[in-house]
Amino acid sequence: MNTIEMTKRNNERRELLNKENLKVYEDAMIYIRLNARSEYATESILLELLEHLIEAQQHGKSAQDVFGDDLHGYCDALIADIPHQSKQSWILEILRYATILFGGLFAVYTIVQFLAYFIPSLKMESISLVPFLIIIAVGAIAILVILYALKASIFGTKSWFILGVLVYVAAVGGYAYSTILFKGIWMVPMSFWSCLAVTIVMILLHQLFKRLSGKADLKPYRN
Amino acid sequence: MLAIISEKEVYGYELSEKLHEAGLTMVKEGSIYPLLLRMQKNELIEGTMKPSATGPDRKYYHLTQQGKEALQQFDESWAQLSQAITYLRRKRDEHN
Repeated sequence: MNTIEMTKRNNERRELLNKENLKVYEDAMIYIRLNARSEYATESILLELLEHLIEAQQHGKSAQDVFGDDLHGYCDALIADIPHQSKQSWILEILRYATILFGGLFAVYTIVQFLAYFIPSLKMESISLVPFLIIIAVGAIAILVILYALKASIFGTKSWFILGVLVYVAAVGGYAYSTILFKGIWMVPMSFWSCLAVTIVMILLHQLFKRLSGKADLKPYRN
Repeated sequence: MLAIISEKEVYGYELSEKLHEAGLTMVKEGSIYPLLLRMQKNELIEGTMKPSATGPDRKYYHLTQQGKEALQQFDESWAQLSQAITYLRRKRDEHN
């Protein structure tokens, strides 16, 4: 089974859990997934835990009987021994995030440019490159903070979650402001078609990086 | 755990039941998984996905050559330790 098949299987099999066990399992699942270790190894152990819990449930045991009272500590102990992602796969993952970032941005521009055919005041003839360079740096930091915030929020620290939201808002706001600030510097022409082309290229690159990073992650495992 | 796996390939739940049967009831079932991960990292065991007789695909574990050696090494040092303890106990009993 590859990573995607395991994730799918997990989604199907999870439905067999009762409400209480599902809650505990999903908390653990999200927390472990957010640690960004090898995806293959992560999904493999998650599926194993799920099958164990299903079988335990059939024997009348609860998630607490299986994982103990300290779920947080249990998850940390597990994560410590999940193999790290290979460097190659890690770099490909970062590139994949970059394509999501740019693809998302250009999807918005494409829509704006399309609307500009009907509402001429929206028309942008050209755009500065500087904000794009800024958003690469800010975007990377924002992603890291948001990931950490999500992780921290599972076991109760809501303040991190709020910070994550704030960073996200600041990143988007910062980007919008920098497009005004750097108007006129390193301008490139824009049109509906060029925006659409960039968006499509980003989607294709995303698929490519996803497949390559999955392959690179799988390499150390024989089965 | 190595001893149980060396007898026959087992999957997680089976392994935890066998530990339980052996009298290791104080440990939580789930605590085998961090250990299984570490033993895989240290290449003492390997897991293979296989369809099970009664249910879904399961990951069955078997020992690697290194795992067999580690188990043998443990057996030897355990025998030595147990011999030493038995000797010291006998001496103490004779004394009292």
